[in-house]
Amino acid sequence: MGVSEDTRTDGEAGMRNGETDRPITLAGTRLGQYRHVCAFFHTRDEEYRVFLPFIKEGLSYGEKAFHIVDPTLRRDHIDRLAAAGVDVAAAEQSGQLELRTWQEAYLRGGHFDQAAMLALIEEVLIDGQRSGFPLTRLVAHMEWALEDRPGVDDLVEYETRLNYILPKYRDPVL
Amino acid sequence: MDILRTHPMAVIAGVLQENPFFIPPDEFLRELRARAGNGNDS
Repeated sequence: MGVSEDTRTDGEAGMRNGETDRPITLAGTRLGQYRHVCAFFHTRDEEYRVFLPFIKEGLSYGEKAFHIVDPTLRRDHIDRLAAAGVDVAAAEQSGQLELRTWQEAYLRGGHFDQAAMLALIEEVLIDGQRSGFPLTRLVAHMEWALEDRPGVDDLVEYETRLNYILPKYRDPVL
Repeated sequence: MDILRTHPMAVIAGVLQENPFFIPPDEFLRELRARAGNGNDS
């Protein structure tokens, strides 16, 4: 697919440098070496049918969950996690689950700054490693991009530039 | 849709698949620069 990685391709989730990954299952399929994923859904119910098993699998492996959500749907997101059996308060307290709203991530300062956001994503992935998490599963809701926000035109460039950063890490980013 | 072209993997209709529309970043950035140079940012 043209994303450069100096790993062997074994058709399944990458086994790199002798390290064995636990499987990353998304939509019932094991994610392979390319882990920058976009997902389109018609409804939030459909979206959570795909996301919740993915999120819960990561939490069960002791991985970090970093979620960026619509501020108006933050409560709904938490409720859906809780309904799926996630102890949200405990996970947040331990640092295993970190929730940010768009204003605390993409739209800091009221506009989208691609350089700042690229730096934030890499910082999140590095911090996850430093904190001892075997992996970070990053889930970002992007509906704000459909709104007329300052800087939104840079989003495509940001997303393509993520493909320089993400292959350096094993963490899935949705 | 440009966003789709920036992701090597996609979940579409509930199925995870390699994204056939994916464009590697070097090529995509060239395209974006070319568009900007033509004054066409659509």
